[in-house]
Amino acid sequence: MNDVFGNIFSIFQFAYGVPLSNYLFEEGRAYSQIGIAMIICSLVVGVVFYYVVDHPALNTWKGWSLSLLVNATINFIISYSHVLYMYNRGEMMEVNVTTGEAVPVDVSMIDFLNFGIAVAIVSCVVYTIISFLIKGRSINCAGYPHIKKNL
Amino acid sequence: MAKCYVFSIGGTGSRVLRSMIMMLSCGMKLEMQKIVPIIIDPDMANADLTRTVKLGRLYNEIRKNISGGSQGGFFAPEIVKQDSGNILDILNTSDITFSRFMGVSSMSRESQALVKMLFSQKNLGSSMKVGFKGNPNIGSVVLNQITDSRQFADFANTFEEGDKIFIISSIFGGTGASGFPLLLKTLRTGNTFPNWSLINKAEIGAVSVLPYFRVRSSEESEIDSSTFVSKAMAALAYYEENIYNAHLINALYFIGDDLANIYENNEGGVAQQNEAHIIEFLSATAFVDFVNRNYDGTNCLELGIKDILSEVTFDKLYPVLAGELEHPLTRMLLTAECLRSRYEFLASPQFNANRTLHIPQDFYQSKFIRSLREFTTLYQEWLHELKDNVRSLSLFHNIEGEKHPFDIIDNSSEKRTLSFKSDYYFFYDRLNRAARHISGIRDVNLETRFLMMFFNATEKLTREKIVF
Repeated sequence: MNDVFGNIFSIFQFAYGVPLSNYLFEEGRAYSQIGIAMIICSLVVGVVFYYVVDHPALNTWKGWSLSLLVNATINFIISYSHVLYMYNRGEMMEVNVTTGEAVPVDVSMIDFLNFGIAVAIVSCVVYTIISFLIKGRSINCAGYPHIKKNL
Repeated sequence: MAKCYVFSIGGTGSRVLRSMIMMLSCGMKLEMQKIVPIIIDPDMANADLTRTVKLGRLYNEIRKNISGGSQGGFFAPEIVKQDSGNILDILNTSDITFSRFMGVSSMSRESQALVKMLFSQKNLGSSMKVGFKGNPNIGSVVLNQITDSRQFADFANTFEEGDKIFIISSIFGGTGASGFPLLLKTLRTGNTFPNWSLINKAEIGAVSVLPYFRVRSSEESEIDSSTFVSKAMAALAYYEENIYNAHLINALYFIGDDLANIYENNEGGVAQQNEAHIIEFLSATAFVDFVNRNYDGTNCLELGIKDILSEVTFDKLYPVLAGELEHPLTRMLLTAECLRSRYEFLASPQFNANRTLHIPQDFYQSKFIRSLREFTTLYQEWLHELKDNVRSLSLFHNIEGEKHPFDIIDNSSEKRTLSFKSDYYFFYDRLNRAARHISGIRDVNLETRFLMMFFNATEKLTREKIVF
């Protein structure tokens, strides 16, 4: 599963850097954790939007987009916090192939931020798919998102 | 299915019939689902009459779109249109004097003398273009032709075992005061029309409206409200002897009020249009009571309210009557105001019920919706008239509840519910839920689903949010 999520997130590795991507792939194996968290989060936000809040005022593109944004924000915070936590605990280490010593992975705050943004973007796609799957039984908000021109 | 024939006589008859139609539209519980109104009024241009006829047509315009009888909801009872129409032909009264109608000039001298003894010169010279102008003695002669009309023939031909008859009239006017006893006697003792034996034995009820308003004095009008009470007393004496003691009727309802209200003095025609009054409203409840019960023998009934105040609210009505009225009237008001103030939202894709029930965009421009909105607007106007009249029937203090749809009962705030939604968003939620609930019902068309959605949702809202 780490590889599956890793292949998806690493589409954006140009933004958050190969060192971080490699670390998340190999030593940290954090892609799967972040990926599963992203799916659970999107599902929870979806259920809350369509079945808990389920407000008629939100049955618009604007309303649904707001939920999309909320989901993206939450996923950004989760992924950014997670990698930052790993870094602050000193977990982000790799073996220097020349010296054979453990050295910190060459990452910066910008990379973490960009990683967070990447996860947020992927979560938008996931949330859209989840929306289509679960919105049908919503009492007030089943209209969005939709593909057809006329409801 | 058993029917109730409703003879509404004169201006008061038309006004009570208007209130009746409003109540029928609300989904009030009625044991009979077929009502056949027959209007008796020589003044065809009477504005009260034309207003009621227009309302009846609008009701039928809406109802004809409903399949399966709206399943007990709004517009459930059928207002049956007779083949010959529902306004009884009264011939030879337009622009003719009473004297000419009777053919006095061709009578023998002895007959002429008798006529002049029975009728004043003013009566004899009176034009009947706008009715009998408060002269029941004229009406009692002219209305003898009732049984000759096509509408009466249609009534008699279609009358069946189990059908009922209800008569609405005033006791102080011209047409009602003369028409009621004449009609009743014909129904009970007549034998020259089809099904006469069934009709003679049928269950018959009537509401006789005692004076409840006055008119301004006017030299241009023959109507003088100072005679209302004396006419009523004379008529009551006649009723006691010839109706009650003669056991001609099964249920005779009386209703009246203080003469506090003063209307303009219009003899008839297009100028005679009075605002809706609580007495007419309560007279319509007499019809509901008659239809829902069986009366044997001869019964006299009166209606009372708890306190005689200038403003009557739900809590001033006794529990049985209040219980019959609260939910139906509130349901219709909620529907009316939603259709009035939230029409754009309802017609938009944002209203999820459109998706659930597959309601196309152009449905909201259809004749059905236009008729429905027109009717509900008239409903709100009716409530306003009742409220603004003297002896106000103030059932709802907020008839246009644009922002707060549930804050409509005087001295009462809406019930709190545990919900993220409030006001109209709560309303939409209940509409959407109702739509989901009825989406699986088969063999009903879109118009019926639309009405059912509103009926079910407003019933739920009335229980959840309204404190009476």
